Order: sequence, then C-alpha cells, then structure tokens
Amino acid sequence: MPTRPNWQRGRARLSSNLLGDSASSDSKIGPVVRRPDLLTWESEQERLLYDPASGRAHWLNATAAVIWELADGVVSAGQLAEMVGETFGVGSDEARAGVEAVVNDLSAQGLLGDAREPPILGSQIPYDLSTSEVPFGPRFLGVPPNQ
Amino acid sequence: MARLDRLVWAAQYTFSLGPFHLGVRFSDGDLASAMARSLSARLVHDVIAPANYSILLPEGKQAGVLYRGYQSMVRTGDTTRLVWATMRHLASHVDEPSELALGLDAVVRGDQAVLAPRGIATMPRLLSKGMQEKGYQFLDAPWIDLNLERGELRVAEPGLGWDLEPMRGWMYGDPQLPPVEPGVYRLAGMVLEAPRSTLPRSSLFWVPQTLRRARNLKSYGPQRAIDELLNLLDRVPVRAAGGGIRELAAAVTGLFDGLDD
Repeated sequence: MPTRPNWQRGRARLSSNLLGDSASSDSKIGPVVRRPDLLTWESEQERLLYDPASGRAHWLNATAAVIWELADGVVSAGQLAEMVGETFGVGSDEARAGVEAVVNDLSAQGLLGDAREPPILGSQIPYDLSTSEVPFGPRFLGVPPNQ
Repeated sequence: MARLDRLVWAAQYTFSLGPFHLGVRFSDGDLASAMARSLSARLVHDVIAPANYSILLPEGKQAGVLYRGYQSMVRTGDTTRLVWATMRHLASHVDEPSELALGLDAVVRGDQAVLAPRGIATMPRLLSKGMQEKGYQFLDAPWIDLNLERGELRVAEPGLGWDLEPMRGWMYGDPQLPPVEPGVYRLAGMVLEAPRSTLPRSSLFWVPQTLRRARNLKSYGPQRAIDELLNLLDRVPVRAAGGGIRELAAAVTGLFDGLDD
C-alpha cells in the first residue's frame, strides 16, 4: 500500500477531526468554530480576516466567507454543507466536498478550529482589541465597610 | 416621487463617462450650458440617462447641493466648490486610483491634510463657510488617493478631458477659497468614527474602520494595506468622533490646531 505524503495525512486527519469520514453519519460530524480574536470586515463584496497574532491577512471568497461566518461552534460541518448547498444551489455531495475543502484550508491557516477542542487563539495576542469606557466616566465604586 | 424630482430643473444632459451614460441635471441653465460645452467630447445627444447627479446652485440663504442619486454629497454656499465637486465626482467614473482609494473626506490647509469620515462635506453651510474662512479647503471627491507608506494624500486633476475655458467663470469666480490644487499633501491626522462612549486602546481598532472604506483593497493588496496602515497609525494622530457634525468638525480643526502648537 503506497504511503501518503505527510501533508495529505495531515489533511485527512484534520478532515476526520472536523468533519468525520465522508461515509460517517451526521451525528459523528463535529462542529467547527471560527477564531474569535480575528479582525474581520467586508470589502468589495468579500470578507477579509486579519490575524493580529500572526499579522497575516486572509481574503475569503463568498463560499469561504459563508462557511466561516456560520462556523459558530454549534452548527456541525454536515449542517454547514447543507446550508452551503442550499445557499449556492449545489448538490449535497458537491457541497460536502466543497465545505470539507474550505474547512480544511481555513483550519490549516488557523482560522477555524474544532469546537470540541480548546480555542486556537494565537499564542500571544499582541493587540488589545477591546475598547474601554472613557476612564473618567461614571463607574461603580464599592462602599468601604463601616461606612 | 422623491422630493428632488418635484423640483424644477433648468436642464439635463447625458455624458459618457467610462462604461456609463450618466445624466446630470442642473437648477441653472447657464451652468448647464457651460458644463455641456466644457465636456462636449463626452456629451451624448441621443440617450436620455436618468438623473444620476443633480446640481442645485446656492440661492440666497439656500445652500447649493450636489446629489448623487438622492443622496447629498456636498452642501455649500460656495459655487466654485460645488462645481469642482461635480467635476471630481464625474471624474471618479473615469479615473483609476493611483494609490489606496478610500471613501473618506479630506480637509486641507496649506500643504497638509486631515482625513475625516463622510459627513463633513455635507455639514451645514454656515459651519463649512466658517471653516473655509479660517483657511480650510474641502476635497470633495467620492474617494481620496492615499499613499499609506509615505503618509501623503495625492490629489490629481480630474481626468475628464474637459475644456476649462467655459467653466472658468464658474470654477474660479468669486470663491471663498480656491479649490484644492492637484498635488501632494502631507497627512497630518485622521478623524475616524467611533462610539462616543468608547476609547480605542489599539491602533488595530482603526484598521477595519478605515479599510472597509477602501475601494481597491484587492488590487492594492490587503496585507500590504494593513501593514502600511498600522505603520501610518503609529505616525499620525487619530481622533475619534462619534457624535454630530459639530464634533466631527471640531475634531478636524483640533488636529490642525495641534500642528500649530
């Protein structure tokens, strides 16, 4: 039996992890989840992701954008394939293959993860993405004891 | 019928601009004739296009307005500014951006520029007049060309292939200020939209705010744009303005005032 190259084994493992085997039942398909710490916005009718941890930008086409947006950690990859099939009017096998390919690509780039695993945040996020209340705005102060 | 369509228009012409035939209607027949002569090479006689643009000249206390469709793009009592704005908007259908093209407004003073969110071009007439009297000029265009790496605003001549002579009286006659001349202007700061109650902690906050306004991000290269913008945001001051138009104007002038200190 020929040995598959490493990258193919990696893809197969990833596929099995995130989508289950193509012959498996839907119940075995795990949900996928998008990275919560990415910057994202729409531009020229497509979606751009920016990973502050790696400093890399990723341009998603319409299909990848839909999959990434729907990957909320609850929807399974099988359901994703159904939704993508309905959205783009393609058959279930084609949709499943397409979703699998996109999920693999997004996962390989660290933009999607297995919802059953700990989140794949960057090892160290160099930017604080949050916003804060204006420091001199009203805030709750605890009352010291004995007052 | 929209309110704009109920007004009486003196004339309407169709111009061939890039891939489009665009209709421009005018509240003033003399201005319409001048523009038709100036853009005679682009004038189309056998097609009646819908009124894509409408130019309402200022009259008395009534501001002049440039509309694109039914949306006001520029509001001013300054005819020169209004006509230049029209030329720049029409040219946007022909011109290709030379840098990253951003759908932001720009205010210029001397050789420096401040970028501002949409809205500053349609501020109340008296407010813009007050700014013009203090030496601020408005670059009224649907997008601005920004060299992110050098932090420079590039202003080109509208590429309409126009004959300037018929327009001379309209474009240089009795202006409150001359139009922004073609050239390079150093970016002195940026005013960007942010909720009033929030204070962004990171320059990264401004990246989507700015680049979602980009018109040619794909061809420019998103990675390049983000890297250059983050670098630029470290070099130029940014102010947040999330309130009304007065807050926006104050933020713009405040950035220029900071240069004087």
